[in-house]
Amino acid sequence: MPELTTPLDLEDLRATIAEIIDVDIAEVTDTADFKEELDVDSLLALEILVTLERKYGTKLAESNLQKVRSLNETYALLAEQLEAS
Amino acid sequence: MSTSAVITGVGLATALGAGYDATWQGLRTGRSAIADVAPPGGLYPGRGPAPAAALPDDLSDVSAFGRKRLRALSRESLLVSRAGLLAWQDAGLDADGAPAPEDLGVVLGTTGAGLTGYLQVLHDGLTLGTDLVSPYAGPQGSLNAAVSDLAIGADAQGPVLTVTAGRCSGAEALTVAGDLVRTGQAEVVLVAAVDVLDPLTLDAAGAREPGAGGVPAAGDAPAGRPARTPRPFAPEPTGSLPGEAVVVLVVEGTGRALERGARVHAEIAAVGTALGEAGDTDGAAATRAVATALAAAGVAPRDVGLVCSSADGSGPVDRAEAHALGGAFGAHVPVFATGAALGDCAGTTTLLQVALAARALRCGETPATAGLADWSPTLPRLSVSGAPQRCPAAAAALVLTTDDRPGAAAVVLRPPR
Amino acid sequence: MAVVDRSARVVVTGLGVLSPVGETLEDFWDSVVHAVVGTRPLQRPDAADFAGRLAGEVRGFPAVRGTGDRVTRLAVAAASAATADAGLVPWAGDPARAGVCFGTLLGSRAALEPAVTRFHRAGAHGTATGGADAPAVQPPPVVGLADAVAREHGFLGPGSVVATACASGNSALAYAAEAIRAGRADVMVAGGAEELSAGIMMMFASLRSLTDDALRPFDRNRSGLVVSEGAAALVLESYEHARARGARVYAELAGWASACDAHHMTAPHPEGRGARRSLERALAMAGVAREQVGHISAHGTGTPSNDVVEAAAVRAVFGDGGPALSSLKGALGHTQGAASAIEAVACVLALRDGVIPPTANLVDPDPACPVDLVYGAAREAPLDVVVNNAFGFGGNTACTVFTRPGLGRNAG
Repeated sequence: MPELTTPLDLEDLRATIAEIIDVDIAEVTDTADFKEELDVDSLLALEILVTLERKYGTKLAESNLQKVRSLNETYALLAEQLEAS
Repeated sequence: MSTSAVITGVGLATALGAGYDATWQGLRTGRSAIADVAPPGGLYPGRGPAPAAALPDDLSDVSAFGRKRLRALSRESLLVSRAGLLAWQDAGLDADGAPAPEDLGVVLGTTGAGLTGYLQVLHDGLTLGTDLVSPYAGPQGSLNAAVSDLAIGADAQGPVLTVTAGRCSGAEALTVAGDLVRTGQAEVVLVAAVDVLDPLTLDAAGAREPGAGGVPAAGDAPAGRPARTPRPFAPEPTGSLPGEAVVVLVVEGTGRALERGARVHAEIAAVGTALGEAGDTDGAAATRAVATALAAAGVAPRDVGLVCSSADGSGPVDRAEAHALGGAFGAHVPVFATGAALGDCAGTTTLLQVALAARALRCGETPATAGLADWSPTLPRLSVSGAPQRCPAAAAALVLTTDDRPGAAAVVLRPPR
Repeated sequence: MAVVDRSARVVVTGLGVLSPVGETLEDFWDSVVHAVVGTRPLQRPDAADFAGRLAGEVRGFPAVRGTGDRVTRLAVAAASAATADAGLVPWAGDPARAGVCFGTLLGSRAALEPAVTRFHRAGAHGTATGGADAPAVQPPPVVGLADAVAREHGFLGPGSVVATACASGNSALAYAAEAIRAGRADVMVAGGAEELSAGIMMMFASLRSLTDDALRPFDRNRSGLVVSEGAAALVLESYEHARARGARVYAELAGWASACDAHHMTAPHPEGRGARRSLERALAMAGVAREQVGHISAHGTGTPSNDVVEAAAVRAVFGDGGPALSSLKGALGHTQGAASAIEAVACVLALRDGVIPPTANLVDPDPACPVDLVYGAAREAPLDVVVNNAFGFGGNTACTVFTRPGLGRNAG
């Protein structure tokens, strides 16, 4: 049973990611590296992936974990996925 | 079991207040914290508010040992981390005298830690699909997550254990901690207990209410009380109501505490536990637990100056404890019970009682017992009062916890020397 | 009674096990020694979302959940086999001197599943939930697992359930051994139990920990774990009590220790600091020299992170030429809270027979795990000391040390 899904918006995505990784929204700059700069470990990266899957009603294969590296890259990945679906 | 361990730090939160002092002051007034509580978590629609004793605030102004990313933690994990820091500070370990990380142990008693997380996993897996279960929820849904988060926060790299034995879980945790300290496996142990209201238990409490939905039956509760209060030792028991609490005690060897000049809350003289046979209605297990603990502590019944009972308005518990305490101490030792004020706090019961009995021992006064009504004519009479009772210069305090497994645990405390 | 007899030695006098590779002690041991793999595509109707995923079921054990609580029945069955093996049935001693401790990950929580599943399924199909606003079920007390075993045997002594996630079996042994050493009990039945359930599959699936290939401990191509169920129990007694009743002594439980990584909820500390500390402290308590250890039953979960960290911890403690390692999880899958109890049974049988079981499914040892791995076939070796490793989520680690009865020790 899919949840109601959300249209993709960069600022909304920024807020979502800030909430998941529990940091100030200002820290999630367009290019901040999740792993290096925001201390996102693999479990947290997986949590981001699953939360985005729920929110946007799309399937992000686990192999995409490497692409969930920054806000910009995550946005691009989602845009591509939502386009394709 | 004989121990030579002392309690040097206490951190706790109950429905009567966020902290040791707030809880103590609340208990002195004889007030009950039972109120209508909305089902937590939003997992199920629920039947609406049910009577229970909920924490007013999850110690939200206390740091979880400076940890960040608290969103990922369950309530149980957050609560033990925060109460853990209160206990740590209370013991003065933040200033000086902290053990090396590898000599700091953590032991936690609980009946339900992780249950809400587990229900969340089932909810997400069954309604969203198994691929959309939060990776954070799974580990937080296991029994040992709370103690692991406490260990991470406190950097406790010594022995670790979660133990569950119904309402006596805290007594088991104290026993394990005593072993660790006595045998040198740890220098200091954070002995914790946590249980929070879960939606299934709360729903069941609502369903048991007269006129279910948490609406007090006519003529039940006095004006101003949103729900009824359990009535310990009453002729017609109306049953206990669920509560939630977190307790963390700092336990260390007597010698170590003396050496570092620590303020001691109480000495844990002995812990005794006992299981009863099925159909144990007159407190055989409780009687045996009391006798075992007193013998192990080398304390005579006449030296016990105050008792904390786990009576909470549930018929079997109250009956067992009235028989065991009446048999051991007669009607003259001041007894207090917190179950009507704080609810049935499940696996945290014993440690809450220990913290409060230690306070009573130091103050020379028990708090009031809430919810007292008529005394059941079939139970031995105890000295229980709706007001604080004086007990100056008590040589020892006894804590008795009873569970309908059936089983019981007794803890003997001595005042600091 | 207040005097603690620190020299009270703890011995093993009875064993019981139910596993995906055997439901009696000798069937289990025969399968393990021959590397029989017991994991198969899951077919249980109550885990339909995971149909076809690999899992390890105790197949001969009365079917699916629903009538009572499977994990409790598994625990009672293992305990009863162990007490019968020890010649303790019926128990003629003081009921208060015998107790029970079991370890588990989720315990009886799976008993909630049928009602919770019905509730959510009804909601999903828009059908009435019978007027219910929440699943009509109460969480069963987790300690019921131990209490059922105690009632079965008439024991009224120390009773509890302990949890250190996947190290829970070893923690139960430690709890029980402390109770005996401190003089609180003469006999303890200690073990671990876990049942397969949709919930446990969901938890590991959400962590992307499950493999569809095979659980391959220490293999270059290991890709994750397989969830299994089972139960095991060991009868522990004080040496004095066992001798007085003329019991057969399998082994001595000479050392135990636990330690916490205090690092992360799911990832092991990169240097395995908890694992290493548990190993060192358990060996110190046992009073045995490193070179006396002939075999380690590894935690060996077949996940990329565990196996490399475990191998590093073992090397850090033993250096070059350390003991022979094998992991039972290739054969059994990961039985969670039961795992280290089942592995403890295997440790005791390895001591008895002088046989180190092979690691099933291990074909191509990972050079990043430079330890003496036993695979392909069992290895015969006279054994004096065997160590049981167990490392759980939350960085909860626990090790136990078993020695041949009568082995001279320099401490105790």
